[in-house]
Amino acid sequence: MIIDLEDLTVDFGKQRVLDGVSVQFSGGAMGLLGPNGAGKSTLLKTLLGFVTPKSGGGRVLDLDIRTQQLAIRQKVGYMPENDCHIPGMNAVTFVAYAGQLTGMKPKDSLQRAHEILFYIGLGEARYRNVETYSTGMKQRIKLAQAMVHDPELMFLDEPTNGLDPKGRMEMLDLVKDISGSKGINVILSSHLLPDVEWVCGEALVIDKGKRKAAGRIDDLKRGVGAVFECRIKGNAEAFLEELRVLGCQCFHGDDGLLKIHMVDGLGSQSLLRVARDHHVQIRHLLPLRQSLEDVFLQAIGESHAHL
Amino acid sequence: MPIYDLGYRHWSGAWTSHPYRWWVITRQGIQLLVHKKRFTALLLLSLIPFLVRSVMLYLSSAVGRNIPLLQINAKFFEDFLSQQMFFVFIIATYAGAGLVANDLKANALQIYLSKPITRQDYLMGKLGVLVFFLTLPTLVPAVLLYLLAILFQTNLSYFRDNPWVLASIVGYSLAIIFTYSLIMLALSSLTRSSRFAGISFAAVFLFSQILYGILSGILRTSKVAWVSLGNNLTQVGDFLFRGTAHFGSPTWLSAVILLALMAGSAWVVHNRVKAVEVVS
Repeated sequence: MIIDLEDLTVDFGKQRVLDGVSVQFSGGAMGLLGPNGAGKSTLLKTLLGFVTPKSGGGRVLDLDIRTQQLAIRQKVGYMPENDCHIPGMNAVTFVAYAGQLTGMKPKDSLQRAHEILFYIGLGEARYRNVETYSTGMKQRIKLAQAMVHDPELMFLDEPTNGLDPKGRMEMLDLVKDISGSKGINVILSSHLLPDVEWVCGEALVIDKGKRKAAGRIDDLKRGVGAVFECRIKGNAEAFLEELRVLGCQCFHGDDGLLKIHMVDGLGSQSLLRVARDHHVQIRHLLPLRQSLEDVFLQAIGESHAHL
Repeated sequence: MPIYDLGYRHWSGAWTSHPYRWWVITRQGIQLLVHKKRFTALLLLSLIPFLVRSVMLYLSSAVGRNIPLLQINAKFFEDFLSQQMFFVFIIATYAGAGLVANDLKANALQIYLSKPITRQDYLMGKLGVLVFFLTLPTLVPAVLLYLLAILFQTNLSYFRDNPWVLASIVGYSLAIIFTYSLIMLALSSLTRSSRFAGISFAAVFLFSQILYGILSGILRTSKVAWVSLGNNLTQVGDFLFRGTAHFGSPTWLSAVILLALMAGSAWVVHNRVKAVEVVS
């Protein structure tokens, strides 16, 4: 098991940041999903040993997160969310230095730094001072320092932050290649659902520090009931209230469109029946393909529903 | 073809042992600074008093054993180290102001501490940089002067009768080095601006000296010398070299103040260096 967490609880002062999170991750790429402030970064930092759990615990690569933090960091690569570098260095020196901090010998780390910088697409700019890099290049150099020591597991915290669409796709392709072809397990923390869906086979959804859903993305999607986009005319309040009573979730979209997540087992017939009962006209009804966004919205529930 | 398809190879080399991980930080810090021409020039400049005293040692043995200025005794070494405090101050400011502040500014602590190193490793590594560069104008030339003195003197009775002088040189040098290093490191950890850290460092020394000047002027006594950081070091130096105390304040008080400052500085920097900034 790559990650095995049991009832992990973390407090920052009086505030509970992670609340009894349990999850198992057997390998590959797992997306860590949640709205801003959900506790994604804190979870990663707890796994690295930056934060001590209040209760519960877990293992990363079969190492205890409370007592074997250094051994975990030896085998893990961490790409932080915010802009960070070690000042006064060019890319080769920076990545080689990161390797030496992990325990590589200077000669090995220097050779490896060159290889990694070519791999991530910074080969031509490797002698430039990191402080002069663009946002996209800084994201790549953070990735390089995280993988210079050939980790078994990588924690990537919002790797596409601040990237333009082309840069974002390149970064996602890189991450996909790392987890798919290079055999490095990846935990990808992001609030961008398409990023996770593109790269990961599994997902853990957390919100307000609590686990909301976890598992293979395909399985999670299957567990979601039918989703419809519709436009109505008539007593919307009563119509939506009835749907809510049935357990459906409704979200306002653009141009007066509604997105309705049906409970598993209910379909368009049920929707039409409720509309008829409340004398509501359905002007537009379109079944939607179930996506990770549907899983996410259903998982985080009404606290984020716009209705 | 995307550039990443050029290949990725797994690595299976040998790891270095953890107890020396701090040395990686020290070594890198030293390398970064020695490549700065201004800093190298400063280091060379700090060797001038050493060269002057080397000549004095030679003259003392060759022509002027009875000339007071060329007397080789404990005071000769104490005076050298006290003179070097000017260079120690400049070097500590130049080398130390950005040591932690620049890392805070660049969010580098997350990178450092996501590697298999502890906060203690990080601090030892940073302290090592300052200790290394402050040893160059103090301990190293002072010990060399001692060895030169032994080499030049035909009559070694003074050194035979006073073997403690070498220990005093080492002790006083270490007191200077660690006082300056730890205070500089603590101030550097309190800000994200290396410039501000440098100014604060200068302010601590200058303000305490000015305060002493004012208090001693008003009270017409040197018993308040303990308020000045530099004076405390001088008092400790006088004690270690068995000389007459420059000031009327008790030596033990100066020693306690210096130790407290060092401990306080270590505590501050240890608490400031964290991978996660928790905002309650």
